[in-house]
Parts: sequence; structure tokens; C-alpha cells
Amino acid sequence: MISISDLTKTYSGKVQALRGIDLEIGSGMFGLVGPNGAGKTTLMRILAGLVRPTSGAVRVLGNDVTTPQGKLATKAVLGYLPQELGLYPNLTAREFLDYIAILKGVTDRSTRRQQVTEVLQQVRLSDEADRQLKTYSGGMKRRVGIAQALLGDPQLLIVDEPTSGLDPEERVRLRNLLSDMAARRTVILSTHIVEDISQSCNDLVVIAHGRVLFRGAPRDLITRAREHVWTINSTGERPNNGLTIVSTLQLQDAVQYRVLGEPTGYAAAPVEPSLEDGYMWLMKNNEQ
Amino acid sequence: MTLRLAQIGAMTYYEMRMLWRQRMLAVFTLSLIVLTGILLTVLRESAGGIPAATFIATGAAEQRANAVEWITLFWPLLYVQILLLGGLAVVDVMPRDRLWNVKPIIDGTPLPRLVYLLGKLSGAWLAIVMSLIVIMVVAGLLGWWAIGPYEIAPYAQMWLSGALPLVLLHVGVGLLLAAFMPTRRLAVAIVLLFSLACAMLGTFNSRLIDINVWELLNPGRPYVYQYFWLGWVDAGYRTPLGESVIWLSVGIGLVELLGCGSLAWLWLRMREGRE
Repeated sequence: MISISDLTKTYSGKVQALRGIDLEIGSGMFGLVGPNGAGKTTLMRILAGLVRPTSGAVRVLGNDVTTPQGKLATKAVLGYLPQELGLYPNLTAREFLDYIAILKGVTDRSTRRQQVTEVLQQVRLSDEADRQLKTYSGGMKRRVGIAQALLGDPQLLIVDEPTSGLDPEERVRLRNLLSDMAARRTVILSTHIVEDISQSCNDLVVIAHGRVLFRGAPRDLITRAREHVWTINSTGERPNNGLTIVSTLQLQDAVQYRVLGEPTGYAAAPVEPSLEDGYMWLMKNNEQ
Repeated sequence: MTLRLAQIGAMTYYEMRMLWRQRMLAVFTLSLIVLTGILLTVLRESAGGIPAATFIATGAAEQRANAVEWITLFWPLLYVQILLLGGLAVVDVMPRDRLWNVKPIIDGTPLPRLVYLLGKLSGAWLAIVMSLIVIMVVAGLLGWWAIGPYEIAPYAQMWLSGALPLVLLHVGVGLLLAAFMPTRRLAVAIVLLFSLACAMLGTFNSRLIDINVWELLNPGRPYVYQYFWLGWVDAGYRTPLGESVIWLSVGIGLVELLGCGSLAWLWLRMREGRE
């Protein structure tokens, strides 16, 4: 469905956001994770036809997104939720979605009305649909952003940090919604929140400094960290010795540290790694 | 083609709605109504409460001259206000997509650049036309009270042939100039200076008798203003060159609009290429 070959992107001749990315992405839920400045948003924007690559080939559903015709053809089947989301404050949610639906090509009025009603129900904003967007909270605006991405029954959904600003219940609901959508289309989910990936993606890529560090299933990333994840209970100072502290838990009479590495000199208990541990282990080895 | 027309239709409708929900267009409409109201009240008071049409038609020559002088004093104020506020009322139609960060969502739809520009332009035009219709009707009713019964056809012509093309062409050029501006503040400053320059130069020469290249090129369309506005009051203001120079002025205006539109299209293309 998506084919990326030797993709590079350099901004203003200096900042190299992507360095020779090669990827093939099929249907289903695909996760894109990495630290700030890794190149995730740049990659998403290139796939959405918003940014031109410096070099390399990108084909989305057979369309070359580096050409004007290919871009338009891709956008006709695309649902895009940008990281920095903006809405027209003086329109209501219903008006805004109606507007975007027409721009996306849903020209039949009854079909459009039905789709707008459906997406509002899916993001649970039906009761607030006729209020102006300037009265909405950040989380509500995010849900409107998700709703507009779902309009037009897109074959490709690109969502950049979709759960940002949502409470836990809404995050779970959105993850389930995206998983349902991934049954018949490609959903590319970019996020800092590793848990969102672990719960819904069966294929993921870890990007850092514009390069692919890992491509595979979440369980493969977890496996990499096996036998390298420990818990250390300490009443004194924080563990050191080259260990990476993943989390800290205050117990009644001690502090429990979850660490990555070799706990030489510490009384450590091995634990089953999580996807977050796998990610941190990958980043740690990449830095070295 | 159906999709493109639908996209332009949607942009026209929703841009118009957004403009009416913002303050500037309401300020534009109300201020023109108020200014016209002041003029008409002064006119009626100066005639001692007698409908001005009566003493313009039957009064002494001096009284007639005074009435005409009053109107021709105010007309330039209205002209300046139309150009200034009309431009400012729609100046942020394009910069606001970047300001409010809506551009990525719009860019994620299959909306060609040309359709985007046409949609923005037609939305602003629809909003301004609606405003002018409101002003025309309210001012007309006020005039009926202040001046007395008058011929509606020449009055309507003053607005529809005089104000409408002038405003549409001027606002169109201003809006397209604002498309180049990275911030709303800069867009407002540029359009303000542009409109002020057009208005000042347009009223500088109070009687356009010959063909003047600069007056023809002025996006404030002074030939149109003088022929239909001042000419409504006193036919002596109508250029002896006739309506052909009006068509020439409007034609040049359309070329200016096309030129600015082409530059705005190229600018958007360059911006996308740089990203």
C-alpha cells in the first residue's frame, strides 16, 4: 500500500530530518514512534503530500506523492490529523465537519449529513455539535480533529499524536476506534505514548535522528529487552553503574526502581519487559 | 468539475459565514450606514426639515448649490471608508488559515491551489456584496426620509454599477496581496497602506476630464467612483469621455486582479516547494 525508498528530507539546506528511509507499509495498524525531532511528523507530512521530499521515492496506493497529480489522488483517499491542530473558531463543529467533508469530495448532501452525524457520534460530540469551536476544550477540539480525519471513508488514515489532550477513557475509545478502522484500511499512528502502540499496532517502526532503528512487531521489540530489565528496591541512593531508570515507585519503606542494563552490584529481580522497556533499550543501545 | 464547483461553493458559503461572525464586516456595514445617516440628517436639517429633493428641485440656486456641495463633500468620505474598511474587513481571509493552524487540515484535502484562491476570493466577495446590499437598502430608506421621494433606478445604479465593481476589484486585489503576508499584522498593514494610497489618489483629482494612465491603473477605480457617485449628484462630474472609459477602467481592474491572483498562486506553490 505504501512504498518508501531511500527517502531523505533536508530543511533549509541544514537540518536533515530524514536520512534514507526505506519502508513498505501494508494494510492494518502501523505504529510510528520515536523521540522529539526524530522525523516522525516530517515522514507523516510527506506521506500526506504536504511536504516535498528532498530525494527518494514515495508511492501511496500506487500514487507518486512527489507529483501534483499523485498528491491530489492520495489526498482524495486520505484522512489526516496533524500534530498541531487548528480549527475555525467561529464555526460550529457540525459546520466545520460539513465544510471539510465537501473539500474532501463528499458532495452529495444526504451522504455528507449522514457521515457528519456518524463521526460526531463516534467521537461523542453529538450534543455539542452546534456550539462554536471557540467554546470547546482542548480535548474536544482534538476529537473534532479526529472526526474530520474520518470523513470521506478514507483508505489511508494518518494520525499524528491523536490521543494528545484526551483523558484515559477517551484515549481507550479512540484506540478502539482506530483499531476498528484498521480492519479494512491502513492506519499510521504516530505517538510518543508507547502504550497506544502496544495496545493496537501489530507493526511498528522506531525512528530516531531521521533513521529507522527498528521495524517489526511490538513483541520483537519487547524480546530485545528480555533479560535486561530488572527491579531494584533501594532505601539509599538511586542505582547507577550505567543503568537506565525506566520508572520509580515509592513503596512504604523503600523505593523500587525499574532499570535497564546489567545490575552488577545490586540486588535486582528480573522482570518481563514491556514495549516501553524495549523502546528504551533500543534508544540506549543506539546512543552507545 | 462537479467536485471543484462544490469545493468553491463550500468555501464561498463558509468563508462568508465566518466573515459575518467576525467584527470587521459588521463594523464596515454599520459605519457606512452611520456615515450616510449623518450626511442625510445634516442635509435635511440644513433644508430646515424640508425634504431636500424639494428644495433641490424648486429652491433657489444658492440652496441647490449648498445641497450639492454637502453631498459632494461627504461622497469622498464614503469612498475612502469603502476602500479602507472594505479591504480591512476581509484582509485576514487567507493569513488566518496559517494563524489558526487550519492550513494542514485544508492541505490534507484534495483542494487544488487555484480552487483554494477562488474559494477564498468568492467567499469574501459574497460577504462584501451582502454588506453593500444592506447598506444600499438602509441608506436608501434613510434617504427617502431625509431627501424625500427620489428615483430609485439611478440610486441603485450608483451602488450596483458604482460601488460594486469598485469594491469587488479593490477588495480582490487587497485580499490577494494579503496572501503573501506571513502574519495577520503584516497583512493588515499592507492592505491599510494600499487602500489608503488608492483612496487618497482617487480623490486627489476631483474632476477626471481626460484619460490619465495613473487614474486608470489605480485599484480604487476613481473613474468609476466619479462617474456613478459624484455623477449622481451633478452630471458635470461625469467624464466627457463617456462610459467607454468606465469599461476600460474595470477591464484594467480585472487584469490587475488576474495578475495578483497569478502571483498569489505562484507564491503558494513556492511555499509548498520550500517545505
